[in-house]
Amino acid sequence: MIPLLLALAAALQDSRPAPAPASAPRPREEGPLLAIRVKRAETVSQGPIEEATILVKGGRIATVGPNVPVSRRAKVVEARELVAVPGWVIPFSHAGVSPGRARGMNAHLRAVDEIDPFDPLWKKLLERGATTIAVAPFGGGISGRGAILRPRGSKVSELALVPDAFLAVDFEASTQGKQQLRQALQNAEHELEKLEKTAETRPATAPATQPATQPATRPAPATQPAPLDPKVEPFVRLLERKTRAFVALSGPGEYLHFRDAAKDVEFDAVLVGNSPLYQVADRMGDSKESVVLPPDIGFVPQTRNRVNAAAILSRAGVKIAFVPAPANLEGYESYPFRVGEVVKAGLDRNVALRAMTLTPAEFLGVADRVGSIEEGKDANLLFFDGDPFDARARLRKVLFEGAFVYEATP
Amino acid sequence: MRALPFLLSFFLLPAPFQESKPAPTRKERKEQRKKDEEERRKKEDERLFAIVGGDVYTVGGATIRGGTVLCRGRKVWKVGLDVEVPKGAKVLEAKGMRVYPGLVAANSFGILGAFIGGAGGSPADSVDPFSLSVQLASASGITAVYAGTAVAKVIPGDVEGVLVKEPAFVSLAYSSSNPVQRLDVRERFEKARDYLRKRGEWEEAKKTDPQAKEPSKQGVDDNHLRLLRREIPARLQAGSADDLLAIAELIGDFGFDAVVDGAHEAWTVASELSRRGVRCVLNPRAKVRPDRNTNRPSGSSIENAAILRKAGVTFAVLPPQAAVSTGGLAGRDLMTLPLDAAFAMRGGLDEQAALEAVTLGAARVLGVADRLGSIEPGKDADLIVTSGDLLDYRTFVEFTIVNGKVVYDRQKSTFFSHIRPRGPLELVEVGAETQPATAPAEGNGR
Repeated sequence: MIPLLLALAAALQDSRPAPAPASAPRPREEGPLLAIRVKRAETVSQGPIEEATILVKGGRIATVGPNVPVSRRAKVVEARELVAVPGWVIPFSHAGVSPGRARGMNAHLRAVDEIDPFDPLWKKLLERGATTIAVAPFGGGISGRGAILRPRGSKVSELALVPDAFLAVDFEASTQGKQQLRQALQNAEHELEKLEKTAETRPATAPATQPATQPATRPAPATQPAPLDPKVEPFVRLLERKTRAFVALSGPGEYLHFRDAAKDVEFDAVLVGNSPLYQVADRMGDSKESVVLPPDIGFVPQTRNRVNAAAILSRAGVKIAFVPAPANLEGYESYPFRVGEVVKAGLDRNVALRAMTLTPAEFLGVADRVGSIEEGKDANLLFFDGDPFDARARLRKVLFEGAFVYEATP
Repeated sequence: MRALPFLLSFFLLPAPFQESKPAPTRKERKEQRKKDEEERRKKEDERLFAIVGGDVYTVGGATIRGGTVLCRGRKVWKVGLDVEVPKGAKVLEAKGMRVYPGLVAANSFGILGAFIGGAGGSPADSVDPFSLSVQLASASGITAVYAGTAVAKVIPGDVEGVLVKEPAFVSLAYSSSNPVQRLDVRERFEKARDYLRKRGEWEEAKKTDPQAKEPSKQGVDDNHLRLLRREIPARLQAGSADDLLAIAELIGDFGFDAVVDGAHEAWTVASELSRRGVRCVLNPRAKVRPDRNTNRPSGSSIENAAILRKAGVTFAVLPPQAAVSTGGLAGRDLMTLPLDAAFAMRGGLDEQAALEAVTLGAARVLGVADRLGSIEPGKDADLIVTSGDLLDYRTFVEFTIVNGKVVYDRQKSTFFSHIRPRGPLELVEVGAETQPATAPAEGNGR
């Protein structure tokens, strides 16, 4: 136990982030008990449950099911005319960060450092159902490190669910753009090899300092590697598979160029794209890509023939997540309706709902906390008075970590 | 990082006692990836594709009626009348159609490097293979172009294997009407020549005297050195006889390879250009009035190409606009590249030479004739299958093949499938158990 504590203490002092991204403190386990009775709970993880009761304890979902015994201490919310869905998980945005940075190598920049907790935007997004929001820094090239936000709090540390969640890359198919990415990955590979070598050569129980008898002429082996350059560090973690890259692509051509530039190394990438990507659906399916798309119906190039990229990609075996478009309040407001249009045009409804909740949570590495109505997950729930994709349905209530933060005026 | 030794000690110590097979390490995975990639390449190199039954215009050699072109990987493997197609090969039945080498455009604008207005650097890194211009250029039978500073292939839907040669030229400006510019160019050449001479002397002296001092390279232009060593040709813009003769004189004085764009008065100085080995890129339809103030032949001539051919000048033809443009007049851009070869025939060029002017000749002009321009074993499998005579105005390109793969099929095209539909024609695998029926060969697009 003691060595473990020591290790933990050391890890806390560590200048490098711990392997698992440091999350904001979870809500207390103890707390008020809430029982919400709904017409239907779209759990996403286990399908819809009719006449469900959702028990919420300490900001987290305790139980969900059709016949859940409710304790007398629980506060009961009767919402039998409403449909509950998990809060939207927005996999990529530039919400609340300052625009207009020049193209370049900015891997050291963090979106979380630009966040203003008092920005009224957060409340507005929350009221439109966005309970988890990934925010990437602006700027072409290597844009910087993205954060995952829970849009409520008065301190940046409260807002930041994961302050250093992913590396944002705005990829450009040019000699310079490809060279930049190749170089960064190569440097990281080099650093990683050095780290691995020092880890191998050093005996596991070696003393921290060299004996004093060591001849002065012989260079003492470094007892610890120097801290990594903050521009290299995220790439090293990328290759260690401890973080992921979100790569913005302008179309299918850039996808091929990105894969060409990144072919020598292995890392987790989520591609932020658009509907023309359907033209490389087969290749993306073969590579089991993860893609973030706006919920829209595109065109076959040079024609007015409609094409449902989300459906084509999904059928090809690509994992898809949606992101509201346009990236303004109107886009967030009409988000489920727009996804409904894509469902109408052929996308499986379950895939569509998952693409707004659990899939983006998986892309961001926070599926253990958000993305479905499941025991143990944060109680982030949206209540619609009908099918959320239906134009007639309205968002009535938003529950955020166990507290109602929005109720529509009747 | 301070925690690493401690943390490692906990995780590493029990390792030898573990029985289960550990997950592959990063290094192992890397090696596996390398192996997979090699395997993929090998498989790619052994891929067999054949075009059977078409009239094969090899351009480099004889025309073979009803011949077979067998490709292995990215290269042409065998060409002939009785080439046996091995089992497993994908076969395109081209009876009644013609097979030509892919067309080579000696210059192009806006086809490759379509991202951010062509400022993306090398076409290999910036081509948008889904762009309209790439699709249309390929539909027009063009398989390679000169773009920016590189010779690159036109491959719809792929970015692999695009680059052929980069850089292909050193750009030079040398005009008879700009004495300052001419002086500057001559000075650079002189410095480079001096340097080469001194270097040669030094290399000789070094054999006997190891203390010999290496000549300074200061102030010597690298590009001009490469030109004098004939490692790379120069590319110049010149139309008038004066400009062409000035360039010929420059070549006579210093000795380098050159390609000239424009060259509308080349027919008046053809023997001089031939003597200096100047290669030309011309537009047979160029219209430049004769100069009334001179008593020698001047202006453009429809016979330009024919006269250059007789004089032994290597040349390529281009349309008035070396771009893919659907906005303006039809028949003036790269979508009708063979038509300009036909215009050269109107001026007296023979058919073989006209075909060369958009294939092998253009490849020679670009310095890539070892790989492109003709259907020969060992050359790149860049081919087109047409509905008829390439130089006929009604002919359509039915298939375009680049690096041994079909990259364009007219019947699947958004733009041309509705015009005199050919009917589907699928590739058939030799030795496959169920052979799908092929479309009737008659009426191919006519």
